[in-house]
Amino acid sequence: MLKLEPEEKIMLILHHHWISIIGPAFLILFLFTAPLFLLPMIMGLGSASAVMPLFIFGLWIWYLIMLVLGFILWIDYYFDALVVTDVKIIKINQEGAFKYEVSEFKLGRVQDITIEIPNFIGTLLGYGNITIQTAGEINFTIKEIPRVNEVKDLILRLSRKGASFIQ
Amino acid sequence: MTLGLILLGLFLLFYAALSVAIIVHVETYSFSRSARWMVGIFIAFAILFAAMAIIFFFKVDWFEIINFYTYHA
Repeated sequence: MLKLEPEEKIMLILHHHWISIIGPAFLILFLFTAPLFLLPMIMGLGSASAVMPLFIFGLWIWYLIMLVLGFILWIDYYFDALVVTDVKIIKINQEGAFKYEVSEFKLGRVQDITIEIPNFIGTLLGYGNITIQTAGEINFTIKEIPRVNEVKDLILRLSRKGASFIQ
Repeated sequence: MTLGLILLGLFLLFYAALSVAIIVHVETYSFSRSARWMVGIFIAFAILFAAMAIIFFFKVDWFEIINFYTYHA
């Protein structure tokens, strides 16, 4: 769980756009169905009646492996997130199943926000990259996030409030 | 068949250990309810697939397969 201050409210939890997961998801889906393409070959074997249960046994083992790979893919997608609260921004970086990094900074430290729409698909599907520069000269770049303009406006609005609160 | 059973057991043990580690990671760091749902779906499918693998392991006629591939290889 995220550690928040007692009165702190989560304003936005932002995951990557679904386009970032679609390539690996299709690969897993393809690998999931790939053994079924071997089925006609197995049926053609002379010893098909003996080999078929072995093939189905192998199929379930394969499905178990694909299931865990799919779950790891989802974890990578789900935990790689940007959480905006009314006090701070929390950037969570997840790699694979277990590598997990959290960095956070106060909204009042936000100095500059740059958004970038990488290509025409970004324009079409409404996603982009966002770079947040802080007073400590630390840059955070989060790639392929949806509703990038709305996110920028929200962070700027909250950071102005945060800055006035600090002053 | 005994060797196959040991290998299957080792595979399922390793799979269970990996799954538990992943689930603990998800439960520790999750920040919304969708994580609980995904963990539930993952556990349900993992149990189903493992059960099917065990059932079909015992349906395989290992002696016929070993004999067939010994004499036709």
